[in-house]
Amino acid sequence: MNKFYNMQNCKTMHMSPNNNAYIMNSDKNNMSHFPIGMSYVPWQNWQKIYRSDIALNRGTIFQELDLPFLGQEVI
Amino acid sequence: MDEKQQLMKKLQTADFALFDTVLYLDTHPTDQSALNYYDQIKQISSSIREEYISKFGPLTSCDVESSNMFSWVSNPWPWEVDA
Repeated sequence: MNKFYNMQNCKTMHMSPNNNAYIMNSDKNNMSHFPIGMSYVPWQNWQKIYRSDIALNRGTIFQELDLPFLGQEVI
Repeated sequence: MDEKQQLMKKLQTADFALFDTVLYLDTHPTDQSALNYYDQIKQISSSIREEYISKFGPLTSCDVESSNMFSWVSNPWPWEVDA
């Protein structure tokens, strides 16, 4: 069990899609203790909730999950 | 949009927010802000539902209020929208 990495601390990491490049090398994005070859999903927090009429149109109440496909990389 | 369609839209809007909140609470069962929002939106949704049912009839076969006629069987069905 000691190989179990506490997923909670990956919440503190900032890998936001808005900046133009994810920080790829591991020592900069403090995920060095995570084994490669696995996928990790940052823990979601309750924030930025759309008004419900907007949410119905956008397909989510969570602004940070409102990620429309724009046909190209979002830069 | 007549009142019936408006109420249905309001109900769909509230229920959408409610179900999205439920999905979040599945994985964050003790998140207090989510629980507060859940209480709020659940209340909104049920009051809209009650208003719709009292004005326009049952939404499901379990919503029938009249005691002498099982109004669920009468037209129109709730999902039948006039074009």
